[in-house]
Amino acid sequence: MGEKQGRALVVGAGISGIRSALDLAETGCDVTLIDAAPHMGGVLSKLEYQFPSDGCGMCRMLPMADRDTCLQACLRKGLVHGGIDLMLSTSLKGLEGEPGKYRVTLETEPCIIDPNLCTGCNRCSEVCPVTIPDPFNQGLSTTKAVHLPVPHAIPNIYTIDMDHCTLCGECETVCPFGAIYLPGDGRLELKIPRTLVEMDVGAVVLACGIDYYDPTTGINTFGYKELKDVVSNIELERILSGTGPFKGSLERPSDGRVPSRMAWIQCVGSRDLEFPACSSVCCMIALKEAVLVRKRSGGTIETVIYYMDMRCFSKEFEAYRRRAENKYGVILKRARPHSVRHDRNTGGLWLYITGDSGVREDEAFDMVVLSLGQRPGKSVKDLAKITGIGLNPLGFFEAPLSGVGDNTGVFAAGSASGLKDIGESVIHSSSASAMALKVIHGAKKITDEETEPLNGFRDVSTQVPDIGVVLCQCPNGPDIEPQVKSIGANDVHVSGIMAMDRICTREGWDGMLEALAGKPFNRILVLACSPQLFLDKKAAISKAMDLDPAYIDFADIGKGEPLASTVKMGLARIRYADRLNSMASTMVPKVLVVGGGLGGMTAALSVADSGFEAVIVEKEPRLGGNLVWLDKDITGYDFGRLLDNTCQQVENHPGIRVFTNAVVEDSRGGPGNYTTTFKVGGNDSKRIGHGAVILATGGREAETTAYGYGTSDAVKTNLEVEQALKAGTMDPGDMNVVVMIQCVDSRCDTREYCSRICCKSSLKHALEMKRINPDLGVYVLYREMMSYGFSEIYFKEARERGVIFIRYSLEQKPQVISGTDGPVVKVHEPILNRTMEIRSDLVVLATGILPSAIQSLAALFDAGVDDYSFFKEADSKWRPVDAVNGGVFACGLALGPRDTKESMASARAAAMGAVRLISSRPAGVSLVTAGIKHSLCILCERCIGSCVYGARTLDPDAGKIRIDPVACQGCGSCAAVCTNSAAFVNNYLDQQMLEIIDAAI
Amino acid sequence: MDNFEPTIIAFVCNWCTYTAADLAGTSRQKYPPNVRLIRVMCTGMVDPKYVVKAFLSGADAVLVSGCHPGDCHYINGNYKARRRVRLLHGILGRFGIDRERLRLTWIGASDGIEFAKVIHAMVAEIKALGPAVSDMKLVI
Amino acid sequence: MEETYEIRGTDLLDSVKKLLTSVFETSSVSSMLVPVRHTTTHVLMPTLVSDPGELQRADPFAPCFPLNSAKLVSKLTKKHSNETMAAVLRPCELRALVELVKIKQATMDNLITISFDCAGAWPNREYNQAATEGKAKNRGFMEQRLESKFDDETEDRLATSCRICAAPFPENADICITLLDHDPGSIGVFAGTDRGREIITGLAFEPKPLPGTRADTVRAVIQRKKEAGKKVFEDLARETATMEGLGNYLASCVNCYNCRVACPVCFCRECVFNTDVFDYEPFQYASWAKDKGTLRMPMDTVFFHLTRMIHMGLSCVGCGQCSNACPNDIRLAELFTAVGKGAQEGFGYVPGKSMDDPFPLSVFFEDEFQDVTGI
Repeated sequence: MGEKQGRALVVGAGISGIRSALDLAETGCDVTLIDAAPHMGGVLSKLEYQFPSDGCGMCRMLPMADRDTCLQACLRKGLVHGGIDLMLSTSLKGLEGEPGKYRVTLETEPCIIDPNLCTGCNRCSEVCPVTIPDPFNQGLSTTKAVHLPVPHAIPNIYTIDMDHCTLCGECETVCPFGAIYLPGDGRLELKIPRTLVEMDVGAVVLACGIDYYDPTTGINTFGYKELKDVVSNIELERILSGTGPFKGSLERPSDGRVPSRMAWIQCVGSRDLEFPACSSVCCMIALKEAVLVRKRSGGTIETVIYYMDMRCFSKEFEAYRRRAENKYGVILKRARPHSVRHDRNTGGLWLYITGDSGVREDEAFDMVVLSLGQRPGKSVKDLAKITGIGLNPLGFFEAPLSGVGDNTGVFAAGSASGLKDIGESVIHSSSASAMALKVIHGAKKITDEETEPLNGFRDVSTQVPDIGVVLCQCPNGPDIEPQVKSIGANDVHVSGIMAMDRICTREGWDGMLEALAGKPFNRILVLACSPQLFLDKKAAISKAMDLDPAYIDFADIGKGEPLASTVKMGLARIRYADRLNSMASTMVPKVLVVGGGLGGMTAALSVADSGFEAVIVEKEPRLGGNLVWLDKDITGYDFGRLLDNTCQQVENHPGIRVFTNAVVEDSRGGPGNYTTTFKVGGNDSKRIGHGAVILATGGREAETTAYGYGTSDAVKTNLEVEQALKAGTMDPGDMNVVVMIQCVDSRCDTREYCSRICCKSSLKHALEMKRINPDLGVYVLYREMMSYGFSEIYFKEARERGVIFIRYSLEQKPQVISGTDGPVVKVHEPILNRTMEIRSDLVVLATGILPSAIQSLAALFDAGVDDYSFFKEADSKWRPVDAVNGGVFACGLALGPRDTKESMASARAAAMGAVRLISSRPAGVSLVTAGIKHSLCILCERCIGSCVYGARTLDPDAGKIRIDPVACQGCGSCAAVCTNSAAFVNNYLDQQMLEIIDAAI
Repeated sequence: MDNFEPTIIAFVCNWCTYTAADLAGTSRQKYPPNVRLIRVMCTGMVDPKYVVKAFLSGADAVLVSGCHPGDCHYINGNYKARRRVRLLHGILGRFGIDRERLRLTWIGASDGIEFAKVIHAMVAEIKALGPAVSDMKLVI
Repeated sequence: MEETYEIRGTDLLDSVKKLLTSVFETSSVSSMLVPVRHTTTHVLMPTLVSDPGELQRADPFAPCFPLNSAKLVSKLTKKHSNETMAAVLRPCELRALVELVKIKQATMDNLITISFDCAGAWPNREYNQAATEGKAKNRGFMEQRLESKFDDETEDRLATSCRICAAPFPENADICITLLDHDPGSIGVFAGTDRGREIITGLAFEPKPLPGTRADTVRAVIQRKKEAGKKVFEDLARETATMEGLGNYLASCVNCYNCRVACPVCFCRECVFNTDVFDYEPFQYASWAKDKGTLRMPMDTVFFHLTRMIHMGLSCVGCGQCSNACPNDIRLAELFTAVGKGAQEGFGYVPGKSMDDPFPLSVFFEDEFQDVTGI
């Protein structure tokens, strides 16, 4: 955490809210993170497997600098961060004021089980006589009325489903801690009643997520809820989960048998009359689920996905689809099942299917998965009313495009403004937090108040370990004090053992703090159960004892392992606890942005609006990049105005310096501290120091020689048409027929990825031309229309306006033959199953996007490119704009094909990442950080090769290995390859580990 | 060997298997008390020395358990661990520490049941095999 | 087929000296590391020669192998220098050197490596004793070995590591000297590298194909040695089939760590067992003794050797210097060679073979060794 900023409110603690909360907390804001549910994680608490890795990796979102501010644990369990106040079962009820100075009202549900007293012993649930469908498993299994909402959450407090509770009082009686206080019996007052809190915040981020379509409310229910083996995709995710209803074994809900044939039906509740948008993620989810099923079953379960268009539009997705089909044998069928019936003969399911060419292709399955469309989150309407943020016709938040002139301090994050996969949600959440930070920073009062100095504790680093042991005596458990005392007596470093009564309770905890205050111990080991719950309480002990939290540790005595081992292991660990006194070099509060297109400019503005300096290095003589030739987007948004506005803001911003005709030549250093030289105007060499770099080098329309391009003026690319329409040199009124060919040189062996924006561009041009000349014949030859999200609406509109869409396949590509009256396009029409010849005035080719060559530039900063030569992100879902080393970011087309709005969001996300890094405090060398004993090191450099973060380098002048403590994440790869422990990881020292192992046995 | 209770040292990754073990606890998936969990930040930091030390201190089996391929918090530590365990299998196997006694598993954060299963299976197997070293005094 | 040349001198040493002198003169070599006879004793030590005239006392063929020179070459080449150096190395020394180059402990940028058909060596103790008694067969050893076509049955003093060495022939030296099956007193030369080819073509020796019988002879030697090795490894496997067996095998070890000092691929500046990692507190010994009933001192002996196997097993070139170094005659070479061989086979890795083969623990692939996991 850096310099203190103001307070932010983040509504929704799902993946998007977590991202935003972390962004803001890491940049010095106090964050209040609320969620209406009694647990964190939103939808993702139920999802374990994410495409394209088929695994998780959410923890990669945790802070990389100042790691100790945050609990280092699986993020699916929960987020514990020093700068984030988490309020569960809490909703936003009121908002007044203006950007930078809001007063919000938060309402917290009444608490029947006191979280300060509940220890999670489960006795209440054991005695509860009421069985209910388990909401965590979508009702596929049962739980008790008093239950844990999520099995893995921290904090994990039992809740009572008051809709089903009979108020029998059993749980209240059995609770050993008096944590349960049921209403009723004339006791109108709850122990912890509904509470209203008011607070001042500078900005609000709305990350309230999405909801799912309920097929039972639709015209076609596909048998959902009537037929047990028809499940929704989220239900299938639960079935596949180890914490799911069948403990991870794939069974049919009806009879527990392993299915042999499974079908997925796509677009249930999407792309229909009621909801004309595409839900964007279901195609990939279905592919992933089918792949998981194929993998799990060793290929014995047949999987068929029925789809309309297989929308794999992000850069790795097409490759994923290919793998699914070719490697895992997932069958894709373009067809529309229209109903599901029970098959009396087999006990299975009968799918009534209309095939691609209108022929009936009914088939039998024994399990059917409905890919449910997504809907706005339940709270969106209320939040819109409270905050005044507009909703689009489908009920999602209007996402402000640029923040220009939008006088608001309330921003939508993640899927709340439209349906997105995790990677896009993360990007849009960081984008929202960047805008929120701008508002908060702008409203910041300059005060003299300085942040409290770190390491202001008594210096015990050179003292011999003097360990104080606190043991939590549980009234439920055996008397452990004598055993602990005897172990302590045999350890020369233990000088005090204090038995406390239940430190899991507020009273017990306070009692312990009181007892510890002023004690001279320089190491504290607390023996208690579930110590993760207490990790954030280290600070309290630290304060009471004036002792660096580095010297305080907890040992879990509730795991069922022999007490002696646990205690001895804990003592071995705490004895060597230490804080490395190496200081990270000072963060250079400046960000280098390479490329001055829309992405680069947006990123620079975002950095500068957060109070840091941005330097744009652009190789062209002017700013603007691709925006210079773009006209408007599909919604009619004027890019010319956007360009002028953005350029003007950049030029006028005191925090931004621009160098045009400038090229980066060389760079040294690492995250937090780079020195980069660049050449301006061919010979003037300049050098700047900066803490982070954003590569916004853009991309370009791919060149082509396909379909006679270059041999006829009547064959043009999308870019040429855009320019001609903008310049007025092309008049659709003069034309009779236009043919647009999609996927030119794309989604094939030579260029695997989908360029994502071409379908939207072609729809835009088709509609524009139709507007000018309604009689114009427009044919779009496509493979899959990638009109994901709201752009599906334009696909529909184009069809309504008479644009004709003809699908072609890679095997039967269209042909363009030059004719005397213009080109003739031959294409096989699959529905009629015959070849058509279309004489046209204009053929428009959608040739896709190529990245600018950035390999060598990325390499300068120890980053890389992917298989397609775009910037290689550390993780396409959880760290979608940053390189592994944490100091290099990318946005816009450098990252992969994306449209203007998406580019701007990625630019803000990249800026947010850079600001997160350079806001962190230099002294914040995290406890688990690598070090080196130079006297033992012989410079074999294996540690350098093993470090994925580039944190280790050879200083050739000094002949020493250098470690960048900011880049280092403490993974210990270096220590494990070092044969004589010259490389080590603090708090995981070899001698410490060996002693722990010894103590364990 | 009826009353032989083996000791298993488990080096578990902070990000996944440690959570799974915790989950096994809260989900009341009891696993035998023969296992001693040693939390590490990543299986990639498990120095082969630790495994050797465990056996020389009297462990009857060692489990190294980390994230599924592709899920490593530190990108690829689990792949590095796999090579190290392979090396250890080769070396320790020569001296009677068979690969049943040194296991590498991928157990994700949600796989509490899987963790309990693995421990049950290991304990049963090692009980059948007997102690790794019958006379520790000879192993100097 | 690589072009080969023949050098005829008055005897083997004369031929080899001709070659070395010629390399010295035509390749602007500033110094050459080669075993040189001590002026007043029988001891042969690797010596850095800068005057080609001093090569008169050079003798790479004697059964004397006081230490593995790879570590010396490391000292000579670790830092970049513009001077060209040459080193005459036994094949196992060259292999160790390649391993050291991989871990940045040496460079071969300006180094000309010369290796030869190695007839093996005696254990240091044997050689030194023979030398003091004036019975060291410096001259004549190689001739006898060649006459017997490296038949180890006729040479009972050979160190076990040499007897079971399955790679005694030069392969990837810049200049490879062949001795087996040549006319008495003459040697053959071929290039094992591109650089070697350049040098050799500049030396103006007579091209002459290798003796036609050589390939078969070499194959037979390797076969015999492999069989000898098999026997040794089987005996060892029986003896050390359990941890207790290993403990017995190492029972007389005093933790002097000489083996690791002598080991060419144990490259640490200081062994971890000599660092504070193993600085136990006095009370800990007492507590271990209490737990176990007895505590053999020095402790961590098996721990040390197992750790060393893990650290250097993959790079073990089988030179046998560990056995030479052991003050208590523990048969370490057999142990470490056997373990190393097994470990190397597990990764399809041949130490010292090529700079292009990465050290197995420095790389990984996503889809490999699936059999390691699972239960």
